[in-house]
Amino acid sequence: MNGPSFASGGSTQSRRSKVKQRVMVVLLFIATYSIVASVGVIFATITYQGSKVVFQPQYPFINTAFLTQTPETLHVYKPRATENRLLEKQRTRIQYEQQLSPYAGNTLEQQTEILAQLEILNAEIEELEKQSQIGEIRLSEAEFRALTDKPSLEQFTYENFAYSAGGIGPAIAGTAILVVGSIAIALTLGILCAIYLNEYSPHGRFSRWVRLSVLNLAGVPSIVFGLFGFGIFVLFLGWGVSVLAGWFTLSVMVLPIVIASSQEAIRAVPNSFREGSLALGASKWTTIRTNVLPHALPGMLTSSILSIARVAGETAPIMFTAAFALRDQLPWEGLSKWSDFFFQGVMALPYHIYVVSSKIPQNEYTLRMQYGATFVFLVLIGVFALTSILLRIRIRQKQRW
Amino acid sequence: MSTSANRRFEKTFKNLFQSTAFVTICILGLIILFLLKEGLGFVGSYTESLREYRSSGLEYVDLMENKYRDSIELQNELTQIRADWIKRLQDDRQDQRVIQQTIGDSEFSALFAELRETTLPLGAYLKEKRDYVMHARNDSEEAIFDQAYLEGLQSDRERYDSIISQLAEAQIALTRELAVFQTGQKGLDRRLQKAEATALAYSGGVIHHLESLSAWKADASISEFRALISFFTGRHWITASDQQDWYGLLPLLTGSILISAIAMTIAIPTAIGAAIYINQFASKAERTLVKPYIEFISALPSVVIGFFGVMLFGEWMRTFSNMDAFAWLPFFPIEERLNAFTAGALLALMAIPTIFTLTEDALENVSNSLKEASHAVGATKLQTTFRIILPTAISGVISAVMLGFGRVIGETMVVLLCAGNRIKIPEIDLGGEFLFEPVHSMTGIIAQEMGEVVYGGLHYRALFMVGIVLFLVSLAVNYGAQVFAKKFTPKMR
Repeated sequence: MNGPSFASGGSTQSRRSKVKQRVMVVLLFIATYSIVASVGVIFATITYQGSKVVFQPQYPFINTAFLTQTPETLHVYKPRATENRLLEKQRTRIQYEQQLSPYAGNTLEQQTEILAQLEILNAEIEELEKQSQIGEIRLSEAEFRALTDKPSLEQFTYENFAYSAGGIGPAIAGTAILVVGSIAIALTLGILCAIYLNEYSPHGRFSRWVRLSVLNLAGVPSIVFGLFGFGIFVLFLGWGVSVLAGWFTLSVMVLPIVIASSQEAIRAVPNSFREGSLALGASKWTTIRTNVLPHALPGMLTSSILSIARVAGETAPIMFTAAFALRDQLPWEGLSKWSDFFFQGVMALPYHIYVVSSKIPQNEYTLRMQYGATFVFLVLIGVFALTSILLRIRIRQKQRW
Repeated sequence: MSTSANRRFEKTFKNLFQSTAFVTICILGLIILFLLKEGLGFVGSYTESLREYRSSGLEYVDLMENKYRDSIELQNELTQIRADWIKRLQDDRQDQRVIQQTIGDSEFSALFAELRETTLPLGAYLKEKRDYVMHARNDSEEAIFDQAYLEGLQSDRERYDSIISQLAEAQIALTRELAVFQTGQKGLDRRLQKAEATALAYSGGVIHHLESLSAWKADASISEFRALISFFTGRHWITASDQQDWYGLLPLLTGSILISAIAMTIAIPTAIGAAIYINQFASKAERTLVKPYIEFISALPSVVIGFFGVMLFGEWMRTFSNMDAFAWLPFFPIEERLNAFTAGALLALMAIPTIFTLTEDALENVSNSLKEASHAVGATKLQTTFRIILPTAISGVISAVMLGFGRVIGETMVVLLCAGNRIKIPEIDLGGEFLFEPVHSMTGIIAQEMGEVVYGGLHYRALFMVGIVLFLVSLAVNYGAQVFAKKFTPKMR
C-alpha cells in the first residue's frame, strides 16, 4: 500500500525540483550570455564602423593614410541652392508629421492623404540629399589653405569640423612612446623591488607591511595617480605637459601591479629549488639567477604584457600630464635639440578618442575619425590582452611542479 | 675565484636590489604624502575664504537673499501650475475659449500679483547691497572691512524690515486665497496645497529670519574644523564664481554613489550568475571559450566603453524610452541621453570581469569532498550549488563584490563621458526619475576641472581633497576585501 504512494510522491517532487533546476540553469545561462552579448555588441559596432575606415578594397587593403597622417580640420562646401530646397522640404515634412499627431484633429481620410504626401516628400528629400552629396566639396586643412580662390558663399554653404580629416599618425606614435618608456621604468623598478622583497628582505613585519600597502595601492583609481603626476611632475617640478611627466605618472600607476604580480611569480617557484641550489654551495645571487628567475620569468612576462594593455588603455593619468588634444607634428619632428623630445607633449590614442567623442558633433563627416580611431585602439589593446591571456594559459599548462 | 671577490659581487647585487626597492617604496610613499600635503592645505585656504566671506558681509547679503529666492521660487511654482493647468485642458482637447473661462486669466494671476509687486523692492534693495559689497571686495587691493564699512552695509535695516513685513503680509493674503482656490485637477490641487504650506511657512519664518540677521556678526570666528565639515557636507560646488566659490562634496559624492549603485545592481547578479553557470553547469567547450572572453573584458579600456555610451548607447536608451510600450513606466521617456543610468549600466561592464573572475576562483576552491558528500546524501545539483558550494565560498564572493565596487567608484572616463556632468544632488523620488538625471562624480570633476586650475590655488587644493577622499575610499574597499577574504575563509580544506 505504501509503496506506490511513496513512489508517486517522490516522482512529483523530483519533477518539481527538475523544473526548478531547469529554470535556474536557464536564468544563469541568460546572465552569462547577456554579458557575452553586450560586449559583443560593442565589439561588433565598433569593428563594423571602424573597419570601413581602416580597411579598403584595393591594394594594400589597409588605409595607410589614416594610420599615418595628422588629424586636420575638415572643410565642407555644399551647393547652396540644393541645401535651401532641402531645408524647405524638411520643414514641410515636420509640418506634415505634426498634422499626423492625434491632437491635430484630422480625420482618418485626411491622415491617409497626408501619409501619401509624406511618402512623396521623403523620396524628394532623398533625391536632393544625393544631389547635395554629388555637388559637395570636402577639403582637408592643407587643401583649404592652398586654395587661392575659395568657393563663393553665395553658391555654397560652408561648415568645418575639427579633427575630422587626416589620420591618427601622431596619436599612435605618441601612445607607443608613452607605453615603451613607462613600461621600461615600471618593469625595471618593479621586478628589482620584487626580487628584493621576496629573496632578500627579512620576512618580518616591515616586509609584510610593504606587501600589504603595495596590494592596496594597486586598487587606487587611475585619476588619483593622474592628479599626483600633474601636481608633482607637471607643476611642482615644472616639466610641463610632457612625455617625461607622462612616463613617470604611468609607471607609478602600474608599479604596484608589476610588483605584486612579480612577487607572485617569484613566490610560485618552490622553495626546494632554492634549497637544492644552496645545498650545492651556490651563493644567494647565483641561486636567484639560475634557479629562481628562469622559472619566474614567464609569469613576470605575462603580467608585464597585461600592464602594457593597462598603460596603453588609460586616459585619466595622461590627460593633464602628457597628452595634447592636437599636435600636427610627429613626436620626432621639429625638435631644436634632443632633450626637447622628453619635454614635449604628444597626442595619445585614448585621449584622442575622448576628445573626438566629446568635443565634436556626431555626423557623417566626423564618424570616420571617431570610429576609425577607436577601432585601431581596440585592435592594439586586443592584441596585447590576447597575447597575455594566451601566454598565461600556456604557462599554466607547462608549469607543473 | 676568490671568495672575497665573490662576496663583494654578492653584496653589490643585494645593494642594487635593496636600493631599488627603497626608491620604489619611497615613490609610492611620496604619492600619499603629496596628496595629503596639497589636500590639507585646502582646509586653511578654505577657512580663509570663508572668513572673508563673512567679514566682507557677503554672507549677510546672502542671508537676506535666501528670503528673496524663496519668494521667487514660490512665484515660479505658481506660474508653472498655471501653465500645466492650461496644458492639461488643452490635452483634454478643450476649446481655447473654454480654457480661458475656466482658468480665468486674471483671477489666477491676481492670486500672486501682490506677492510679485512686494517682491520687486526687495530685489532692488538686495542689488544695492550686493553692489556695495562686491565693489569693496573687488576694488580694494588689501581688503579692509572695517566698522564704518559694516555700518554702511547694515545702515538701513528699518527699510529692509518694512519690505520684509510687507512681503510677509502678501504671503499671508496668498495663503488665505489659496485655501479656497480649486482647480478641480487632482495633481494640481495637491501642488497648490503645497504652495499654500510654503507661503504659510514663509510668513511664519520671517521673525526668525530677522532675528538671525540681527544676531549676525562679521567678526564671529570660523574654525578650520568648521571649514572641513562644510567641505564634506556642502551642497554646492561652485567654482570661478564672481562672488564666492563653494566647495561642497555632497553633490559629487551622491552622484558617484548613485552611479556605482546602479552599476553594482546590474553587475552583481549577472557576474555571480555567470560565475556559477560557468563553474557548475557549463560544458567544457563553453568553459574554455566564455571564461577567457569575460576575462578579456577587463582589458577593455574604459574610454572605449565611454565612447560607445556617447555614440550609441545613450541614444538607444532614449529611443527605447520613447517607445509607446513603456509609456506606463513613471520615469520614461527620459530627457537626457547622458545620465546616471547610462553611466551606471556601462560601468557594470567594468565591474563584471572582476567579480566574475574572483567569484569563479572562490567557487573553484571549494573542496570537492563537500560536493561529493552533498551528492551522496541525495541532494540535486541545484541544491548542492546553492546550499553547499555558494555558502562555503561566500567570503570570496563578498570580497569579489567589494573589489568590483572599488573598480566602479574609481572609474573616470565612462563617468566623464556618459554621466551628463550636471553638478546637482539627485533628488530621490518614488518614481525613479532620479535614476535618469544627469549627475557629476568625484572622478569626473577632477578630470574636468584639473586642466583649468591655478597651481596652489583654492580650487587646485579642493580637487586634491576630492582625490584624497577617492584614495581613502579605494583603500578602505581594498583592505576590507582582503580582510574579508582572509577572515571568513572556511577552515575545512
